[in-house]
Amino acid sequence: MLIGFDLLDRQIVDRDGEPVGKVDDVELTYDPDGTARVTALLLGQEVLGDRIGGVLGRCIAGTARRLSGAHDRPPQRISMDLVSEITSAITLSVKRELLPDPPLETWLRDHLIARIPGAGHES
Amino acid sequence: MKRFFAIALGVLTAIGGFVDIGDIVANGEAGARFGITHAWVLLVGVFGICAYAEMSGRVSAVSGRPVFDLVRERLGPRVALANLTGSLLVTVLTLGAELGGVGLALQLATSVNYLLWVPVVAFVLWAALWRAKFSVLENVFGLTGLVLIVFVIAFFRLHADTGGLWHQATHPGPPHGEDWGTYWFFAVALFASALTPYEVFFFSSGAVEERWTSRDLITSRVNVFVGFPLGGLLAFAIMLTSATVFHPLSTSVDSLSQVALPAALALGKLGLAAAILGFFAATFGAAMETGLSAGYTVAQYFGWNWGKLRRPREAARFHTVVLVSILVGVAVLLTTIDPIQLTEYTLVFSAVALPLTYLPILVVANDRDYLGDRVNGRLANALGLIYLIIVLIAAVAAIPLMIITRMGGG
Amino acid sequence: MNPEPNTIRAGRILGRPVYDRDGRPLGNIADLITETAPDGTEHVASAYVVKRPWGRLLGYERDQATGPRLLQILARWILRRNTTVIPFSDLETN
Repeated sequence: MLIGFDLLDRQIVDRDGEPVGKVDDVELTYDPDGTARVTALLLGQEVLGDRIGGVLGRCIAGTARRLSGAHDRPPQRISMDLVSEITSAITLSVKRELLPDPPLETWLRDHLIARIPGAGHES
Repeated sequence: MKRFFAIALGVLTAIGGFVDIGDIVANGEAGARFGITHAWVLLVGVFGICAYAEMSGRVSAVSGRPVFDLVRERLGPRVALANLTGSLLVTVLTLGAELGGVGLALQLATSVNYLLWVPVVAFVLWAALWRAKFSVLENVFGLTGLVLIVFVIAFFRLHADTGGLWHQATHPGPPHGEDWGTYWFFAVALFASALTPYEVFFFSSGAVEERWTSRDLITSRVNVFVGFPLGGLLAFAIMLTSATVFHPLSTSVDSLSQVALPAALALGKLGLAAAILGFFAATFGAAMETGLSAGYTVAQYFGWNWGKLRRPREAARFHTVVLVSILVGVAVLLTTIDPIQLTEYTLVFSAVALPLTYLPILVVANDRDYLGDRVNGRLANALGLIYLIIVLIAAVAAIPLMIITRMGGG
Repeated sequence: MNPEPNTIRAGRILGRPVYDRDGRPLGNIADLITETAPDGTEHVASAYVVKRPWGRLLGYERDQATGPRLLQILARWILRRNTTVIPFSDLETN
């Protein structure tokens, strides 16, 4: 498997095929003997901004941090043992509701979208 | 009847792509100034968008994923972000222009200034995107836009010089009073109008909204091969009637009312009413397409939940982007910039964004991981490559031509 | 936000330049190849090092991408000329 090609920037979907987010970065953990294991997927605009790097990346990461309030909150992390399948998307073995909500989505939902009538109906 | 509605997505996408406010006036102006010597450009454009829309529809139906999802995967986050920024800029500016276009159509009907209509239209647009069912929007605006067929009917009633027109069509080149610079500028603009990025993104996202699967491949193909040529035909009809009425008089066309004139001449008040209704449906349809596309592309780049098929509560970021795009569109219009001039600029810039849009589609349409054995055959690949080259040439030529000919003014 | 000392993000490794023992540049790390260990986890085995700052390889190094002939030939020609595969354990970070 190629980390850059098969994991990075792929769409993550939950057990039912609902979008969870993109793989913005991948967490590697070093064993005592020096081998690096792939341990988790990392999500979030801050993570993406850090990876893009340069001025643009710092902009993205910066606005994400400011919008979500907390300055030192760790990024959204999905452990690799929740991953059930890696095909055109990365499928998890759990439902989306079991994962923490992305902060921007929550903020917009509570402060803007949910206040408009009809927010509870799909079309 | 149900079968008829099944092609609504293709028809709506095509209408928003081929006869939005910019195209309506561009085709009218091209017809007036150049006769139908640009007919071949529309033909080339129709083939190109059919090839790539078929690929996009196939990718979305088989993999369940919209095409813009794959742009980030294949080109990497930095290049995809450049792509996103470019196409978002074009899409939102076009959205503004379409809102203006709807206002202009309403001004034609009611004589109330278009700027007064803009906030009303923007609100109705947002409400429609918020609550109306996707299929209802497709059917109403896609099929009402087909009323623009009135221009085909008008042509047959206008006693045109068919011999002269045929001569124009088969001898591409600038007529008297125009030069090759302005000729190619219009060629690039008309070509870019046929292949705007938001068309493909909208069509493939719509395929996911409609929950197409591999079993819907035939539906997807029918949508493409009926919808887009139909859109091209409508655009051509506008060019044709304009060429018939205005070209012999050496007048130019730069307003919506002038474009409607041939329909009025041929069919009287009924023709004029049909033309205005068609303009209204087509520009409102284009406004919907660009509004949703703005949301689709941003959400699909970042991996957010998106789509009208989800409850707005669960796609808050998507709906926020749509709302903000509409507000930005209104803001741009309130600077009193001419909506038609605005689309002409956005057409040129969208030509520049085309290669990055279509390259990943071609690459993914060949990937067995996504499509299994439904990857491109030799014809699709040949067409895909040829058009990628054409699109590259258009992208490189667009801005120099714009500068040299001063937006086609010559 | 202090990550544990023995974790690192893949984004920090990808794109980094690689030099051989004599200090000559071999290129940049374009991708990391993993192998499945007996316990089911993925271990990073080697790195694709590409001379040109190519970034995304468009996927043509795999067999499932057959692409239009022209693009495929172009991509494979570029990759074959400039790619080396280096075992991950041979890389030292500095």
